Amino acid sequence: MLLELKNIRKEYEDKVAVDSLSLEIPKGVIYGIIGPNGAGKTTTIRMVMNITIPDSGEILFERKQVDETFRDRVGYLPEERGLYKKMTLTEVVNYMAALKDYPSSKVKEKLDYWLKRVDLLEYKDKKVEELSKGMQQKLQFITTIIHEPEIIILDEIFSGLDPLNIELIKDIIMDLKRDGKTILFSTHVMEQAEKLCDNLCMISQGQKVLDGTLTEIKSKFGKNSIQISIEGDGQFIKELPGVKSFRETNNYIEIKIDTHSDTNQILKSVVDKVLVKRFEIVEPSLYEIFIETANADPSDFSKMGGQHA
Amino acid sequence: MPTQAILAKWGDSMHKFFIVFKHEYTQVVKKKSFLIGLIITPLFLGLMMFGPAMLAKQKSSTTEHLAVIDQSNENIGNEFVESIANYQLEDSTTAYYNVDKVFEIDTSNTEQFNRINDSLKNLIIEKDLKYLLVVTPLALTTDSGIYIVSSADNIVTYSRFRWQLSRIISSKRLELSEINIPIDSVLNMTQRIDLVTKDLKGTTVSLEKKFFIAFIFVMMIYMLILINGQMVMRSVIDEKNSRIMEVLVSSVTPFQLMLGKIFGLGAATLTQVLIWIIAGLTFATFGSGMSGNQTIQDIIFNPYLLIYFVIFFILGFLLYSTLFALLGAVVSNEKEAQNFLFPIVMCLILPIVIGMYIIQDPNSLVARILSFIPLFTPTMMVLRLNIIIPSLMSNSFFQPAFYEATLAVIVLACSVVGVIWLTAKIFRVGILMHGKRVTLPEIIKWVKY
Repeated sequence: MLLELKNIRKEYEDKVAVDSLSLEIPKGVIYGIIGPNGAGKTTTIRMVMNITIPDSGEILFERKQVDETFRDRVGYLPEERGLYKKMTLTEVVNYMAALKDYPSSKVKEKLDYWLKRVDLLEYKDKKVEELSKGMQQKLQFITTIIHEPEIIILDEIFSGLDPLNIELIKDIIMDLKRDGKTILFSTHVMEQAEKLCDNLCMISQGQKVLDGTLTEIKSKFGKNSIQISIEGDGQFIKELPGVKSFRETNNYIEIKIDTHSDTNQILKSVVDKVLVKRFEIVEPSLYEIFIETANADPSDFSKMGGQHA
Repeated sequence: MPTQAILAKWGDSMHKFFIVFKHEYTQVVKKKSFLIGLIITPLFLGLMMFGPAMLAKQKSSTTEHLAVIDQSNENIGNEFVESIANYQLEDSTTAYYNVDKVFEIDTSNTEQFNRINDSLKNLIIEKDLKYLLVVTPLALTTDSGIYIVSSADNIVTYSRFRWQLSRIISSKRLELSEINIPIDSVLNMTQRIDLVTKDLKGTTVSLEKKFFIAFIFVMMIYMLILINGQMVMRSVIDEKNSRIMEVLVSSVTPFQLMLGKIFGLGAATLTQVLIWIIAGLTFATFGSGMSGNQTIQDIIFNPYLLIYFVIFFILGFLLYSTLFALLGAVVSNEKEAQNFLFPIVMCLILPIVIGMYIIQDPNSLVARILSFIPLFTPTMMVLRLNIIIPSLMSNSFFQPAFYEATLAVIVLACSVVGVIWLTAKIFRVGILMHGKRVTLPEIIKWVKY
């Protein structure tokens, strides 16, 4: 294990932010911490970064207590972004790398490559304040990875980025993984986690509700989801026998059925009423899994739903 | 932990400190405002110190016209005209005052007096005449017997006229009183004397000059600490508000960051001072007529005084920079910080406020107690030493004043270390706090944490 969190607990005056949380992050994976807003993701990450000190429990990096040297081997992008507005891009990247004890000669070698990769090369000698918000985010991402950290921690990396830039960053993250880096990131948007993660952990109200590899988690929940595309009103599907949950999106309806229900029977019932364009038995989406897992506390649905749509 | 590991750790720690130090330093030094400040500040200071004197010294380049009406029958008007004939313009050939005419009018001739008086007043209104001196018949009996009519005031002229007139009037009054001693010797006897002060070495010193120098020293400490402190504070607030702090503390410890900032920005300010000193010394050495006053040089270049000044300045500088860093860490914006600035300014300026009292007795109990309160120590001790040291017979270190100063240095140095330690604890938490106002109980909790 590259990074281990053992029984971490952090309590603030009015609430428990993180409660007996244990995580194991293997080397070379993309690890996602997912959960609704306020679940304790940022607090967890801040504790890993030694910015917040846990009330109890321990955090181990390569089986040793996290120490000073960890700072140089990690790249951290906090949820709240910020850079020196009055410095040029080159200066900012150089200073951030210097703080990580990374040789300036190497920064010089790699700077152009990275700036080009995120379409910022032409702004190289411009001041940061001249960049748009999205550009500043991309720049900050570069400052997070330029010093070749072994582990990269990204808190809500995709928030505020447009789809094109999200793809850009995703590509870089996949490249970093190929280079053997470990990436730990948090998000409240399930689709992104689903596309990127090897391993993941779900947190709700400061507690871990689920963890494992993506395939493990999915197989655990079985293939009991059906996506149906129809023409006409599908509300009646809700009432069919064996249907446990029902979710309607613009393009399709996703239902969950009892494990012993006959999918053919359901298909027949649907075909009888409306024109079916697609009927597919699928793995449950992370979103479905999360909702099912956190079912005990319905307040999470609303939080998730808002972000999901 | 083996010694080597500790050393390596310490080395790494210092290394990060220097990266922050270098960054903070270069960020200030390469800014345009640094260069502007470098030039503007001494200009401004010089203007403030020497400007008024230079302006006052500037002689008018045109002759001032003057007329006299003398009703005294005592020849006062003509004697006065004679006595002011010596004043000259800058070119030292033309007379400063041009007396248009002395009208000697008989006491009883009111009609003639009114006529001349009115026409001269008209000349003043038309700016053809600057002063009209009227010597009434009562000149020798009452002080209000002589007056000047003028449309524009000139202090230099007034003091000259007063001086010359009182000489003439005094001697006339003495003549009238028929005392049997030579008038000149009476004047001599009654003249004001200048009381000079000499130190134990026999050198003439002037208390005003000593206070003036002390004032400059204290003002220097005050201004540099305030300018630098606010820079430190603003830098912390900026990094807090731009949310860059969280990235920074993931790379360096808050302690490294804080020290790097305090020392880096401090070094930038001191660089400025150093350039001023070098420029000043070059000026003094090569510039002509800049040799200045002996007393001032004695005080400024007194090595004992200089050493203490530098020590107290550096320590005070550190103390206040740290406090400003602390302030920056606990407030969420500059506006909020303004509320706390006033007490800090008051602490710094206190020696100037109660300066007259301290000068009267620099060794009074109050002065001594204040000198040992760390916030007051730098300015208070520098002010007191400036008054005490030049008066000491031998400038050796084995003097009560020096013992006291050394003790004050130790107390101050300890409190600097203490304040840095305390600030580090608060800084660590404060820099990651946003938006909400921090209360004192919270801060106390951070210290214990």
